[in-house]
Amino acid sequence: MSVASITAPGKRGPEWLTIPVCISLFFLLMILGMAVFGPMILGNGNELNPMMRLKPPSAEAWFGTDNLGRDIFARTVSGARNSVIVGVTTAALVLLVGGALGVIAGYFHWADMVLMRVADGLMAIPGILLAIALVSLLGGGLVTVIIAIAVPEIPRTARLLRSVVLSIRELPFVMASVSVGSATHKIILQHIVPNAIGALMVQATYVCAAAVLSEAALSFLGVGTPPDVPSWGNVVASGKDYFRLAPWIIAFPGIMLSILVLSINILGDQLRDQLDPRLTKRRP
Amino acid sequence: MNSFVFKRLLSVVPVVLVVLVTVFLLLHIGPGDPAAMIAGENATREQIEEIRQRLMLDRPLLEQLWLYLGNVASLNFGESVYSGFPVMSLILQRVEPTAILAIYTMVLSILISIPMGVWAAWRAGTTLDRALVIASVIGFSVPVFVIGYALVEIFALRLRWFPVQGYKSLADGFLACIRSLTLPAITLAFLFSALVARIARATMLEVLSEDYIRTARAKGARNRRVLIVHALKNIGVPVVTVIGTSFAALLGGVVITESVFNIPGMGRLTVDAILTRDYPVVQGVLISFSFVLIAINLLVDLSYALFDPRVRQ
Amino acid sequence: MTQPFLSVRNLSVSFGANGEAKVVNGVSFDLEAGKTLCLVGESGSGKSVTATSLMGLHPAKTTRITADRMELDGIDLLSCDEARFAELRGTKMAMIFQDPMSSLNPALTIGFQLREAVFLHENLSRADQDARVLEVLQRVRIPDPERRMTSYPHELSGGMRQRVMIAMALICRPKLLIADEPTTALDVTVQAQILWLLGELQREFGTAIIFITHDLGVVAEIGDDVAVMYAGSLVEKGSVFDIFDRASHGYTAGLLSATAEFHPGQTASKRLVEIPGSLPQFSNLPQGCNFADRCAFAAPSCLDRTPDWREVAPGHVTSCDQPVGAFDAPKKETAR
Repeated sequence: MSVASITAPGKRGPEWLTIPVCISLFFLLMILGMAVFGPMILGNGNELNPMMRLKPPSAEAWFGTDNLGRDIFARTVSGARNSVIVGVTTAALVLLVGGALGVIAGYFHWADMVLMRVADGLMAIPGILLAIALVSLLGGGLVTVIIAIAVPEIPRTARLLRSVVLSIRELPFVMASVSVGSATHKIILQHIVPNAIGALMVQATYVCAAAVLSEAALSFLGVGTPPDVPSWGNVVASGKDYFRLAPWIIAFPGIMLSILVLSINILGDQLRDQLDPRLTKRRP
Repeated sequence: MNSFVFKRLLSVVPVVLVVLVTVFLLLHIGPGDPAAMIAGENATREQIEEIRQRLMLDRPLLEQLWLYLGNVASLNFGESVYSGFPVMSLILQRVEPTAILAIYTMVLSILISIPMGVWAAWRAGTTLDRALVIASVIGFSVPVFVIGYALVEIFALRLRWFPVQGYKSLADGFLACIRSLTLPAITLAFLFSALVARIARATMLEVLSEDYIRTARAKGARNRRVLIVHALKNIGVPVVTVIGTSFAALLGGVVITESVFNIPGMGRLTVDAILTRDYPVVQGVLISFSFVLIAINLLVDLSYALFDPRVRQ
Repeated sequence: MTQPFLSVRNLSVSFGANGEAKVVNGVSFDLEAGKTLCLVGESGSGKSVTATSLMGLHPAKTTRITADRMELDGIDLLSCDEARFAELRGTKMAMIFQDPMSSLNPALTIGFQLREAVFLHENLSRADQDARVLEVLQRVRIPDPERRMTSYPHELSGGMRQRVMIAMALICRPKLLIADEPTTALDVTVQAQILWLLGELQREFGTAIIFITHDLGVVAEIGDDVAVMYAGSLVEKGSVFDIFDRASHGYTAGLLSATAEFHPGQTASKRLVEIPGSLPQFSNLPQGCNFADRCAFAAPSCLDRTPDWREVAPGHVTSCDQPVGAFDAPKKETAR
């Protein structure tokens, strides 16, 4: 069981539409709305206002202001865009590259040895540290941050895909297809990819959640998204030195980050349970 | 047994090599001249040239790599560009708080997570089980710094049980040291025990549905005995595995936690080195952290023999 | 009249919080000490659940067990709680399972698992425990028992593991042994050895055996009485001769004609007849006789009326309104 499978007793509806899933979907839609419309309505929240420095939440500044008098509400709402972009793009990038490498490793024995040794090596370097080093060496900017976050995630995804491919290859219908001499690329496209897609989607949600967390961590440490772009990590970082005086600077973006990652993880769990009925339908 | 250990030890060699080559290449994949990057934006041509000579960046790449591997083999990570001190001695100065924090977190997490995971599986489907499942997803979803600041707000600023920030070294007394690291350790334990408890619960559920558990009950073993004698040993392998794989996340968390709590450990050393573009230090820290991770995962694999007799052959 | 050793009346078992899935429905049987009752039926007919209910092995929260009577050697099993059941298991009744590969704990030695079966119930010194284990290992003909005590299950063959399971079940001399398809996962030659061993131990210890199987060949070999189950209910019950020679329920007759027979001297083997259709769903049992829509002998009334129990011969009962005569195998071939 996962959080996502918790239902209210006696409730009917589609089996996957549980209470936590509904709440997660609601929050995801809200954050998506913030990401799309936030910067249009509230701007990027970079306007300095020396008269309004370190003000607690009030009617004028709902989430308070930071040390430069910037409105935390505007920065938090607009900051959603950065997290959503980083999360989605990283997941797509990791899925594409990691997935392809995994299929290659699972299918071609000659590539397997090399790729898996490299993957083992990359996985031995703590991901956040590798990302920090990559950002500082490649120079700042959104693209660099995404690449830096993606690189440590790729080996894990490739490994997962490889094991999925290896188990699918042993299935009777694939063996049969091989034995009648189907072309390799046909087998990969017809059998391997469709059967691996479920595991890939679940992995995508976890990568997306991890990417959002990594971006926030990098920005928090001061090596992530450039400071002029509102990002939740940047806002938290700007509150680092003032957290005794103005805890709201950290609190609001921190809560939004938690909600976003939690929602993605809950949906990922539900997806996994849905695709792997063995986990939930087991008799006591 | 011996061949299993030997094989596993041998498998470390390519991993170490890949780590070293990756870390070495980091300096050379950037868009610009590594010497200029290290020297910083305001460096004169002479300064850049001096760095190039000193770090031997003017030699062919393969020769550099060979020299680098030789240096690392003799535990020489070079010198800090910023302070001139040997990287090794900088790391040794900073290793104490990080090591204590990591061990403290591990002990705390294992003491919390395994009993909780096992208990939740035993009571699967009850409200308590659901509460634990929710807590575990929250544990690895909420960013480390959010948990850290929340704990500081509650236990340091409001309740004043623990110091807000800073580190007392072992030289100041064991208790003072532990006290200064308690909030950081709890912060990291949220993440770590969430990952371990989740796996402990899932594998325990699986083990409890195994035929041999039914056999144990059929011969008259009571519930507690079934759980402790028959089930616990069988969740050993997956649980130590997740402890090993989560250790990477723990090290990442250490870096952030040290920043939140202002602890002068290896994480702070890394971040400071990055911000001052002190790449020899960055490389040294990356390699040290990776070696720790490799060693931990080696220990994890060797510990399989404790839990699973099939591995021992 | 003395009470039979094991007596079960009107046992029903349902799973789910609201008892949605009624998997055993009104099962009754008796078993005399030292005799063998074979529970026969296809997978999912409720025979294993019936047996595990006797052992109290179902989780109390999600299982509802009701019966008019469930008594073992004068003990009322219906009133037993988990602690009482734990005392009874191993001492009064024991069980061996289908898959000896997964039924032994892979992380513990054979010696430990056997010793545990002793010290859970008897207060013996370690040396006495070991002596008991060695003795029982010799009884089940495990070669080199001293060495085997320090082995792990994965080091033993399937047949050896099933012998260990039997040793574990019988080490405290229970009066009832439930064997849940103990030979299904084994090679045919090993099957015969295990059956022979069970028979020998039964004669020696006077153990009553409930033998669950779908293999009628095995039934013929070891059974005294046979109870045939279909969709959670008993459909026919009698001595092994009654069932094999005078099967009177359509399902039993179908099972018999679906079993390969070989008679010496017979040249052309009789064609196997399959039973058309499949088991009905427990949540959606048909009206009337559960088996009517698959029965070769069904009359229109079978679809409407739940059949009564009728005694076709002393001790031979059937739940069928159209009892089949002896050797009256279905005439019509399955339409394809």
